[in-house]
Amino acid sequence: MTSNRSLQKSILYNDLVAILGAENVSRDEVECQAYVGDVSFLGMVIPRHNFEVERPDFIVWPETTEQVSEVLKVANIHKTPVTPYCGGAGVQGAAVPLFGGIVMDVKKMDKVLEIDETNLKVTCQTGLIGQTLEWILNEKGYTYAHIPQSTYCSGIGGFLAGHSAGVLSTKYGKIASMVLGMEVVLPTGRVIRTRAVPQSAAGPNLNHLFIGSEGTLGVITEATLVIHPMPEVRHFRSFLFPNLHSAFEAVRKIMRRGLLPGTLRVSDEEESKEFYKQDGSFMTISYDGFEELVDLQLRETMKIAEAEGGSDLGPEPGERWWKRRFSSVYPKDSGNPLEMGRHTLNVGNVIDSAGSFTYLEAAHREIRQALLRIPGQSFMAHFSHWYKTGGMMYPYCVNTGAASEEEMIDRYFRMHRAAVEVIHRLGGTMTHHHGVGLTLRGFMQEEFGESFETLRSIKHTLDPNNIMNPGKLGFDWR
Amino acid sequence: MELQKVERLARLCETCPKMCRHVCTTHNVTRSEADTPNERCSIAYRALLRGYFLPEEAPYMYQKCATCGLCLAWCETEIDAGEVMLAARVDLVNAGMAPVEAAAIQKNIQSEGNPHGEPASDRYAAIANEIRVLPDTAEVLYYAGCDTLYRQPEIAQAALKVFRAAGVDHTMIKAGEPCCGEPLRLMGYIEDFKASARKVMDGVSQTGAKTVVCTCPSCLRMMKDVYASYGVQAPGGVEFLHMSEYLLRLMNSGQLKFTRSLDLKMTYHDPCDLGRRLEIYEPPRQVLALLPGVKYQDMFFNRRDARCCGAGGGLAATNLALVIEASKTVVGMARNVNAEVLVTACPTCKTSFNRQTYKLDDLKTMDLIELVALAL
Repeated sequence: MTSNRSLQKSILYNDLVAILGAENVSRDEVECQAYVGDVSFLGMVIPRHNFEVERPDFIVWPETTEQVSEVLKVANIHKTPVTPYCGGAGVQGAAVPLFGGIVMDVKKMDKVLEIDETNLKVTCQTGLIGQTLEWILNEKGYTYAHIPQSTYCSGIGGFLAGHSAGVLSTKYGKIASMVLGMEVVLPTGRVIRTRAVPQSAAGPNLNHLFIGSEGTLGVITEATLVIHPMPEVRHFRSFLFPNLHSAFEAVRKIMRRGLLPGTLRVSDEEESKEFYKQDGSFMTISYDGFEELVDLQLRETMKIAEAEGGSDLGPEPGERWWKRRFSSVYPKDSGNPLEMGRHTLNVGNVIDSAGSFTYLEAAHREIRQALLRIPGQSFMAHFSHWYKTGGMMYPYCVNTGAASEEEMIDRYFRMHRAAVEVIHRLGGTMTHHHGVGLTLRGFMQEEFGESFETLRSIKHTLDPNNIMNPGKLGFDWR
Repeated sequence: MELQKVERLARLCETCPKMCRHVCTTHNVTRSEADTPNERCSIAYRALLRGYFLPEEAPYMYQKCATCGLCLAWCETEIDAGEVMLAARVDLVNAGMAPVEAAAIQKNIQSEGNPHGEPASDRYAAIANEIRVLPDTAEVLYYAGCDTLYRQPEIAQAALKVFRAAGVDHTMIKAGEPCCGEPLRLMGYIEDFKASARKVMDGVSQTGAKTVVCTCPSCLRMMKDVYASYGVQAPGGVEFLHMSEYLLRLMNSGQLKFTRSLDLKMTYHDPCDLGRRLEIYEPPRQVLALLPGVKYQDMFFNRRDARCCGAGGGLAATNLALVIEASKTVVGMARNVNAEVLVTACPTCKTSFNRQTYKLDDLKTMDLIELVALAL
């Protein structure tokens, strides 16, 4: 006899097929298993260690905004969770479908709708993988200049929902700075659009409500992004400073001077030693654009670096870094962050906090101290994504020696608790671009303080049945 | 399990954030996370740890990898997920879990000597008159292959015309070419593959040829690179060439004279086995450059980054719908450069693209050798 539950599933399946066609709905076991996790530590741990999680019931591939809307309406009728999924390349677990239900893979929404060369903008659906959009633009002589390390494996929808940053963000900004307008399907199925204009004073900018919402407030289906002519040149320079403080001083003065580096990375002493075999603090900087402007900025940079005691290491280390800028995420025999927990009981993650220049120096010192109190913990960091007011710290935290899967997970959260306590005490934010997901969901109340209630009210209003990616961003558990 | 031999590749691949998914031939059609090199390796690795496959895993092993090498081209760790799939397919055959399409290929090659199940007696039907007058032995052996002879026989006709025009001492395996065995290897029938390889090499020996020329890159790759790794050696002193390499020699030595200007805009598709696997990228382009009246432009994805026609890995037999969708990508790129002829140098690719271009007035698919024959 068919149980009530399976009958409900059968009805839902047929409702979905009616919207999308059978070829765009799957309940195949192997296919559903492929969506159980993502590339976050927790997302990688789940399938390997057989943690009990609900496998998604259905994977759906909408091709149009209307189909997304219809699926969400049906999900509301069935009160079924919906987890939007693009590349699944987030590192905080935002795309893990914690409560099963429907995984909405948006990668068939991959059309470039318009490239406007006069007004320098591209309008596209959000299922495009980042590199694919970049290739399409490159073919016409443009770039959208958003190059996160995951550009091969994550898509526009993920960049927007995760509020991501690329390696050129110091010049070009995070994804929010690149978005002119968006189309969003709200959790109830209603479709809204924001105006794709350079700026507007007509009330609050709703783009910012959905950027970083991690699929909890709807599905972003279309975006208009700024594009740039391909830069004529990109030049690199590297420096070695006596210590981290002097490197920070150089960065602060570079930014105050109004220079616009594409990349600006500073390694702490541990990372300088480990990766660059240098004693001190290693810096790589790049400028792109037309030759004269790039040269002028490099000359100014060299003056500032010299004044802060930096030794000029020439262009080669930076050029090498650029060529191998994605290397660290490829699998290695010696292990990499993504292998942590997958084949071992080791923990690995990055806690990408951000704050003022004053914050960064103090946070580096204090987070390091706090984390190294945990058994088996190592710590090294670099700093990038700069603003006139500060930047981001990127500590690579590995913990080894857990005796069981439970202890491994406990150490993972202990690591984050210890760091977030320092971050909030010193006035920083716990994440610059990795987002919240499962990892930081428990700290959102602290991060937002009183204003979290405002965010929660918005969630309740937009998603009364809590169908959109439940359990994420600190919103209600299912 | 055969997978034990590639355990490292499978284990490492499954820890990647899918840095090659954006180029994977099958994923770019289905857009499913299950159809990524990473997930396929993950399934294989779990099967290896478990010691057996679950019945529902078998289709993913077989139907969803073109073994095109694009994942390898984009992998800094140099993981060839296709090799993992081939090992998994061997294990599935050994476990008696091969799908019906694979079993049919094995049966067809056993009974008729070709994977398509066409009568063995028809192998040379399109070139019967030419075959009759060929000598038993010659300096150059032309090996056409099953896809050429049964699906694109005009490639073989053009090849023989060019050999004659250049005055090359040439022949074919007159008693009937054995299949090179590549489809058997793709489907996991390794012992049958080795038997095919031995038959091919015996045939080569009997012709006394010092040079073997192939129009099919897969046949060439088997003879030049793969047979030896399965313990089947080529006769001493024999050189294996793709037709494009041999044509270049003929053209550079002045043995081929052209009388007709083609006056066509062309682009060239690098077949996976010829390009990424054998790294023969320039000879076909150099041949085109030497033909009269060719206006040439590369497609956006070319050479190492060329997209697969979709028919690699046996997909034409196991998942034709996927092949048809995949082939549209390359045809679309050819249109983007306003080509009138999409040139390739592989009968399998030609079949794939022809499914799209036969109905078009402004874009046709042709093999390199057909263009050379046309310009004579």
